[in-house]
Amino acid sequence: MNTINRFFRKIGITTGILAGRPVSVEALYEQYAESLYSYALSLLRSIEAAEEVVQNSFLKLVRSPEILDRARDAKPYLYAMVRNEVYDHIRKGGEELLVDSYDGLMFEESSREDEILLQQLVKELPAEQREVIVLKIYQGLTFKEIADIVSIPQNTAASRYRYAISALRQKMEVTA
Amino acid sequence: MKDSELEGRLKKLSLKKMRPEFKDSLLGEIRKREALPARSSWSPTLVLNCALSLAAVAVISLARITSSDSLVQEIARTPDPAIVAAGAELYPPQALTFLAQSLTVESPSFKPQSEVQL
Repeated sequence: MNTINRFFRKIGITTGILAGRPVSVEALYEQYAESLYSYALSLLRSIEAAEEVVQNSFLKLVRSPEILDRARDAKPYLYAMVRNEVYDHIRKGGEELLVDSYDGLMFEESSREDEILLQQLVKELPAEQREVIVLKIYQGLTFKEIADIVSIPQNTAASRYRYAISALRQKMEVTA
Repeated sequence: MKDSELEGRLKKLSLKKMRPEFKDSLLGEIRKREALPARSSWSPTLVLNCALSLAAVAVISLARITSSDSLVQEIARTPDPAIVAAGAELYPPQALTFLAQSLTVESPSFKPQSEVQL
């Protein structure tokens, strides 16, 4: 199927669906841009930085769409791509890697007190646990996919998730 | 509180969305770049590369032919006995004589056809 995709791209056909997945970058953008942006923003402090990361990722795809042929599934590949862009951005810009609590704007504002509290507790999670929460709860990825994206064993991804949920539950109970 | 209840509450939180103007602008850029025609098999760059490669091959070939002719001519003009002897072992003497005659174009015995007629 990769050969067919390459053939279609070579003759200039970059739209449509082949093999059950969108071939055009535009289709990928419409399907995943929002999620990838929120993931990038959960790893970075500023909206501008997250926008730049998403823009770089998709423009890279437009320049070399054949890189997706190496991926069995586009979705986790896109997340891994964005993650690499985030780390590139941090390296180039001299921005510090978010290790402890998050001080950016990863959530939409809420007026409900319990939601504001929970948002704050998620932000206070260690970065590696918060990342797994974002990928699992908000992006709907499996532990296997998360493990591939973050380059960790699947069990580690699952245990980070359990630790995060456990920590959040305890803090919620304390504050209640 | 059960884990499932907590997960349910977490799911209700909304992650921040892209600014619409940025989203539309990037979508426009992607559309514009994807709409560009696929690189033609005969792009100007490719034609130029081919022409340059052919020219390079021609120059190298010409240089080789010229240098080899000069060398043979030089040998023919001032024959080294050792080379002639070595050549005689490899080729029939008639062939060497013919080769020497054909290469000594500037020998005193050679005159253009028109000059002979005059």
